[in-house]
Amino acid sequence: MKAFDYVAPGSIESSVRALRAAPADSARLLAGGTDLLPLMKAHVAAPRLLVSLKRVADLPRDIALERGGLVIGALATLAQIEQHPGIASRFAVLAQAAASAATPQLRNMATIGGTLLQRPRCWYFRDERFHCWLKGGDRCHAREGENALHALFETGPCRAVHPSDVACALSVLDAEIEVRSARSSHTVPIGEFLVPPTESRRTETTLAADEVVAAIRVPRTASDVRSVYLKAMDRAAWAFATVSVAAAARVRQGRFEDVRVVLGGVASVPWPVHAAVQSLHGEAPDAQAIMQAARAALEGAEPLRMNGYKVPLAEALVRRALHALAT
Amino acid sequence: MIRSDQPGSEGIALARACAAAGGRPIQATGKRGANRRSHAVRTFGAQCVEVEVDVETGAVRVLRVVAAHDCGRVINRQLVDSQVIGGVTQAVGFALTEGRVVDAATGVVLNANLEDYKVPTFADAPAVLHTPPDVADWLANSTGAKGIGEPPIIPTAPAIANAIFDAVGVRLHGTPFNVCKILEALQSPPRARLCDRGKAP
Repeated sequence: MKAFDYVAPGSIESSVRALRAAPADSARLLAGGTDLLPLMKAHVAAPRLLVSLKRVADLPRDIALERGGLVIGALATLAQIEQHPGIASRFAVLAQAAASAATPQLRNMATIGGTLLQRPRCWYFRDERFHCWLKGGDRCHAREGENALHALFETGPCRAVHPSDVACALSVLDAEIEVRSARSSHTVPIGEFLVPPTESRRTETTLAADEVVAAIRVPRTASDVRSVYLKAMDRAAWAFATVSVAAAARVRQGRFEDVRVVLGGVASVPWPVHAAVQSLHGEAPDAQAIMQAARAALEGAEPLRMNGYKVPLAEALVRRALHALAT
Repeated sequence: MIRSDQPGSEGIALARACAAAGGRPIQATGKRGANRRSHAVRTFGAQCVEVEVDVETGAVRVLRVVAAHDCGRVINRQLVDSQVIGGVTQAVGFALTEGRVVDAATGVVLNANLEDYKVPTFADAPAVLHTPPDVADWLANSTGAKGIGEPPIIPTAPAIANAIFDAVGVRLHGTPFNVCKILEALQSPPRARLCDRGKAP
């Protein structure tokens, strides 16, 4: 790890000021540190200034149910989300996603703001010996290399997957991200906050260098909407998803309505496939219809050399999630 | 009872020995003699494994391992059990999750850390029942005991492979027996290659 300076301002405004005062790309915000510190130890990130959010008084860390919706402070931990009774009963997918992430120790430290901003787990990205495209290089080493854990869907040069379980849950719930900068505050739909990296912006988020995530807002859902998060991983605990599924729907008079499915572990961002499963709207939740919807959800997948198993695995999880919502 | 290892010597009850010692400490020394040159010493063992295979997701769970290892006389049961449980747990990782990932172009090991190289967690570890025969092997050495460090790791992975075959009828020949290999083997024709499709066109 390289030497760095550390400041712990007392307000969002002074945090943003510290970010703006630093030379470009040299300062980073520090919340739980569960991703940033390993990146620094691996020499993949080398900020010269860390702006700690620990003492920021106006950055919320609590969870509030407001008019049936949720407002989650950016500094709320995954453990808080996992244990919140209101989330478990009304937004099960979110509680389940939080509970499936990492380990209890990490969930006690990791914040929801940070979980959205964590970088991919791609071993080429995380190894300083590879100057891959995402780090400013000219190619993605995973394309021709070891890619069993990489993306099925093409979103650009980088084939790393977004690592966050919670992001998939927030995506299926249509969450919005409240972003603060020096002067303004605005909300961004999660689908416009997490976006595939581009030539000129090699990150997975549109958050600007001098902006801070303040809160995550989850809109109210009808009381009979059910939701579920299913995650496949390489061992029983402490692993990122090989594939995951966040799904929500309601079943009225034996028919599916408002079926929503987001896939994790298959693209550089949480991958909504709502349109692909629309065929279920008004259908009874029978095995045939669910199987067809699951197949449709994976249409367009372009497996690499070693990740072809993710297609049948994702289809299986989609089927299981839909059956779970219907029973 | 306190006994000497001299042929024909009689034992003496501990209470009698203490009374005779009259409050003075009782000391004795002994040593493990050399192995006999005339005999080779081997530890034999067998393991039975019960697995659960999810045929849709390819997930394998090892539910139970019963291990019997003939390590001669068991001197300390807890230590022997711990050796067996540790060896089996390590072997579950070898069988299901652990594998070195090497970038072919550069030779760089990509998962040389304990996050990407996946050893079993508590949640992966099966229940292990150890039933030692506990039969002293006096042909091995003067303690009647034989080594038990390495043997428990040897049969587990093949036993898991056999259990997978017994459960779902597919033979896997290379570790780790991961999701990819299970799903590839379980496909009904036409068979697509899921784990390694060869060089991209």
